[in-house]
Amino acid sequence: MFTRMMKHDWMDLRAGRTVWLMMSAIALLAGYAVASGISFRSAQEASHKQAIAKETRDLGDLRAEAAAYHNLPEDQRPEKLPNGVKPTYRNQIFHYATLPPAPLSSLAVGQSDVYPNSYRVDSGGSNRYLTKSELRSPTSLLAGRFDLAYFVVFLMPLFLLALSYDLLSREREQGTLALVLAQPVRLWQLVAAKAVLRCGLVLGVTLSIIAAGFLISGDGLASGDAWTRLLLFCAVVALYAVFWCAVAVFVNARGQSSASNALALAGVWLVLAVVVPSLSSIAITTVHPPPSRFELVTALNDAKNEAHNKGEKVLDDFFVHHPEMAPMGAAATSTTDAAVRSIATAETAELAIQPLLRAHAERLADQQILGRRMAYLSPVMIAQSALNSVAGTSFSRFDHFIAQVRSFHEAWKHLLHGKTLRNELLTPADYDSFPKFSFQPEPLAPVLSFAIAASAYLAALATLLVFMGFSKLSKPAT
Amino acid sequence: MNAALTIARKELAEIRRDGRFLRSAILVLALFAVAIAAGAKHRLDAHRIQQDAQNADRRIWLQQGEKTPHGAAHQGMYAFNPSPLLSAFDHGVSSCLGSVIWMEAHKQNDSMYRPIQDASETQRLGGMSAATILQLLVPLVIVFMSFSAFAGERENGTLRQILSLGISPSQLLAGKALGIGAAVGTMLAVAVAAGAIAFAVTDMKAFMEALPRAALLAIFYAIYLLAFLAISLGVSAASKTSRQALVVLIGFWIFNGMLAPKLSAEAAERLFPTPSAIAFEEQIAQERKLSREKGVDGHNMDHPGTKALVAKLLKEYNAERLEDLPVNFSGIALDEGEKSAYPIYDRIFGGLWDGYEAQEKVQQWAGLAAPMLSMRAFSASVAGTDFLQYRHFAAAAEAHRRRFIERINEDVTRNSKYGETYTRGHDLWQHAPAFSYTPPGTMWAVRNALPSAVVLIVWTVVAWIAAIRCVGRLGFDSQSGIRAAAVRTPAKHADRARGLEEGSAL
Repeated sequence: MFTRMMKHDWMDLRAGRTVWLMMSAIALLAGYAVASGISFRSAQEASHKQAIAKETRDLGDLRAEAAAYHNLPEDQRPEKLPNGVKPTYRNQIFHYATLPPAPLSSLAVGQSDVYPNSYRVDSGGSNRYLTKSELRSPTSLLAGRFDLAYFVVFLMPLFLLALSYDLLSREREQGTLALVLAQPVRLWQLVAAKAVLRCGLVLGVTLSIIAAGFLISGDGLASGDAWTRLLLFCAVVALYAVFWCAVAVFVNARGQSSASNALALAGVWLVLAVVVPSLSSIAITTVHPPPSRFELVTALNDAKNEAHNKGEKVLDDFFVHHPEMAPMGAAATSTTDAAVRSIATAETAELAIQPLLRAHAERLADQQILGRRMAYLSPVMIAQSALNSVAGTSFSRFDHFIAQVRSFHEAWKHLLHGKTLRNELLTPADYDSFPKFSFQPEPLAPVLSFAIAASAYLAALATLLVFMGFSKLSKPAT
Repeated sequence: MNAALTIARKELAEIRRDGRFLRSAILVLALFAVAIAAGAKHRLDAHRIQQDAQNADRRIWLQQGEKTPHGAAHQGMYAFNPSPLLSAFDHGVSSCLGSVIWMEAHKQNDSMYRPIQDASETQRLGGMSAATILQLLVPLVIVFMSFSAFAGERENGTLRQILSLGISPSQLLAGKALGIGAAVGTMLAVAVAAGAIAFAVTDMKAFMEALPRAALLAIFYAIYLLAFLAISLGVSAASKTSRQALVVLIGFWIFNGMLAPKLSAEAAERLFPTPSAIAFEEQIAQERKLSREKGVDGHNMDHPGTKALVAKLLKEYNAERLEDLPVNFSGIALDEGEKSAYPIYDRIFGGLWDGYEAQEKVQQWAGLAAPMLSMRAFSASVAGTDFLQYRHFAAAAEAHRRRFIERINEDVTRNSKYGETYTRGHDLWQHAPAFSYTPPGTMWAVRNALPSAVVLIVWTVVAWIAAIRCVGRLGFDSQSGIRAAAVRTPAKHADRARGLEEGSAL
């Protein structure tokens, strides 16, 4: 009976031309969104290639200088050392630590355009490289990308509502409802059949485009958990669609006219998609604003200045903290060596600013957590958060990346500073054995748990709405 | 005219009775009030923090202690981007541009710390200012209030009755426009007055200075909303049913407010692509390397350019060695190095910023398809939060950087000799000028906003002409098939024709 109702409803829809128009519009917009995601990813990959090329070129030049120097017999080597053998001269030995594109980069750009995806790590202080960011035009950043996640979160509900706002009211207004109910079918079964059909149509087109995008872009080949993430992504999309259908069912169950339903649903969409997010955003900015960068800059400046003004004491402090770096043998007497001084000063300043940077980073992380909690105020916000998290384009993956870059930087500095303090010159063998950064993917567990929480939230809301709607429909018709 | 006023009064009465207006008006007013209050508070804090930071930077500069002047040049100064008063009303693109510029020796730096990077996802999703409410939500209120203005009357059958009274369709249009316009206008007047009071209370001096800009904004927002009113009424007149009118108008609103900004931004990026940071840095590095090879390399005494400069100086001062010169060669070499980089930075940064500007221009002209884009661009320009304002600030920071670095190098050249360890203290640091920035004036902003203003005016004019045309066709009653009098026939004929038609319809 159920399938028969669906079949008849489909024949009914098919007769009018609107449904074809809508399906094509969905396909067009979703297709464009996926293409936009893929082109963003290509641009990221191109930029990474440029980084590798530059690194190979620059370090290659320095390595050649070192090789030329070491190839000469000892007595012919020049007094003035070439730059290539100096480990920390001008922090010239660098490495680009890059973040690979997100696991589902074709489906969401999310915050990827805001956060940098590569850092130039050298033997200098951490704050120098941390302040760098990718070049983005203000126009692009303000608008954000038209990616598939945006389409699903904002536009897909509109298509669903446009298809189902007159689910029940149309039948009533045309006078065919009484005829249908004369059949051995309950009202809620009729509504359910129609809702399932419309939801299925929209989801069918959307999920096919998602799958196509995923396969074409090669996301599946790129990372191990991509397929799991794709499944989670589709689950969130599906439950989100079900939620909006449930809203349409609930509104239709009130028994008002189609026009009134349309207005009510438009109102719901506006409140959930525009009003609640704005109020949340204003609330966060007013009540818990991000820590001030201006104050951070001033504090860092003060710390560095103090470190510099310490003078001689800097060296003593430094070797107390880093006894393993204390020069041995012949170098032990050359404590006035400029390179040693500058490393010591830099490290002292670094020690002074680390607590400030850590505190700032913690407050920023709190900001993100608060934002995620506030997202539960609207299914629209939670869907966006969940889709971005599953796609790997949210703050947490980036935070994971930064942590790895920091520890890589520590190791890098340690290696190069050690060489300078022990008066060792760089050899071509050193160049060949410099460590390379390799991003360890973020653990899937937090992503999974958040996706499950968001899905449960959407499912619970949908169930509640459907239950309330159906119980109204089960009452005798007036 | 009397007829129009009567119609307007009737519209207002209906609006007051109808729950739609009251609900949406209260909602939008509340949102606007919250946005303005939050914006004003935020701006007040930001202003104070910026002043503190700029003063602290000067203090740190002065308290550097004893060091070589070149060391001080490497310490550098910071330029903190101030937020104009009207940024409380319209954030513009200020959240997407860096807020701090580090002015140091040898390098022109791009700004750091985009506010958008520190904000959470939720804030990016919902980021709404009072300006966005006027650009996005108030047009929606207008749509809700006017989508059934003509189409609803046609459905109820009252349209024919009204026209039969001898009222010309354009009088009807004027009346409805006046009524709805008065309702929206009152709502906005309350909101704007509240906003003005909030601003005046927080910073009276800045408020007075910003008054001309605020007046301009008020005028052009009114023009924009009038365009929307015309579009709504026109679509309502042209639609068979009010549902059709609503669908078309909401579709236009979604296109205008949600699709067009993203699509035009992507188009702008495709037309004027932004280089990657790595390509940008590489370009600067290559050009500086070339310039060093051709000119003077202060670190390499064997460089031909350096040797030539040395020879020239020795000859000029009739000296045998660099140490005998009355000036410090190191200072001169530093100065040469800095100055040789200026044209490179001007060209490369200029190219980057020209690209950003071009993208903004694309948005301005894309407003021909979606008026909100032009309104947004105009609003940001006049409020002082567009890219051009930022460029003005960044250029001022760079000019300052060049000034104080030159001052320091000059001191090294004049007051020390080649090879000696030369340190200075507070007495030199205070002679380096402090960074003080004066934002550009209103006329500058208006000149930049001109294309957007033109597009907005064109939209309004075209929208009203189209609305009058659509309403003019109301005289044709397609249902009865009888052609009623058109707008252009004299009033007497129109009355008789309509009277005949009513009779035959009955």
